[in-house]
Amino acid sequence: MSSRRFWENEQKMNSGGVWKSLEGNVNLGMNLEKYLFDANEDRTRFDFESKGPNGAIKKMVMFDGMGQLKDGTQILNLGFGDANESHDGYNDNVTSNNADRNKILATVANTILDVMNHLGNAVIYAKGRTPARTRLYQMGINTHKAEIDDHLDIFGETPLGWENFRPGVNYSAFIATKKNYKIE
Amino acid sequence: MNDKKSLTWEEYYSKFPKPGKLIMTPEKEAAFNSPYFLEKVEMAKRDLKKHPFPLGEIIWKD
Repeated sequence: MSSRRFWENEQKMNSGGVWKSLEGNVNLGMNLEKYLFDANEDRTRFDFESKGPNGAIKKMVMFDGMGQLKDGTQILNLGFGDANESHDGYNDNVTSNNADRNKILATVANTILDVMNHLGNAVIYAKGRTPARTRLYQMGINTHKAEIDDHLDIFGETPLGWENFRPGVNYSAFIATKKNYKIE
Repeated sequence: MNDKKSLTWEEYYSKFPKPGKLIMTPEKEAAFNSPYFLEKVEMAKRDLKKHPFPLGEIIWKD
């Protein structure tokens, strides 16, 4: 597919539509398997297909603008889930029993980086539809915290307010932005 | 393994796949514009207003 051409010189796809880095010397998020995904020009809408025992399941990721910081940095809500087209909408479901949860999470994380890169920076707010799904996001952040810490600032929401993300703390939502973001 | 520390944002980002072009269809438009999403954004706004935002004042879109 011609739209895939951007990274074909550097990376390879297998026949299942999965991306694998050729630079496999570290076992971090950037080298996790991810699904190929598509995006619109302003990087507000993404989609990809989960492929597994239950067949192909369309996943959609949407970044909605909610506001901005004083310097113009956009604050976006991350919406994610199956495209349940027959019901004209979404269910926020990272666990569609297709045996690919980590691959899905890695793909969604990839879309976040893509938005930040496209906009220069952005503040991304993420919260699962249920506490269990928010917990999945937290597990993903925890697993790759060392890599994330080099490039992103992550905050977690507690009943008392926002704090820098710490492993072992249960958060109800997250915000992410490029590392060392400074308000002018 | 320790060389990851030296990656700039550009170097880091270059290691991730880039998106293809999203071809919108009526079905995708409907899904992206579903009430579920509007509701989720409103929930996020309410949530963000609960506590002082760690990156400064928010200028709300609406």
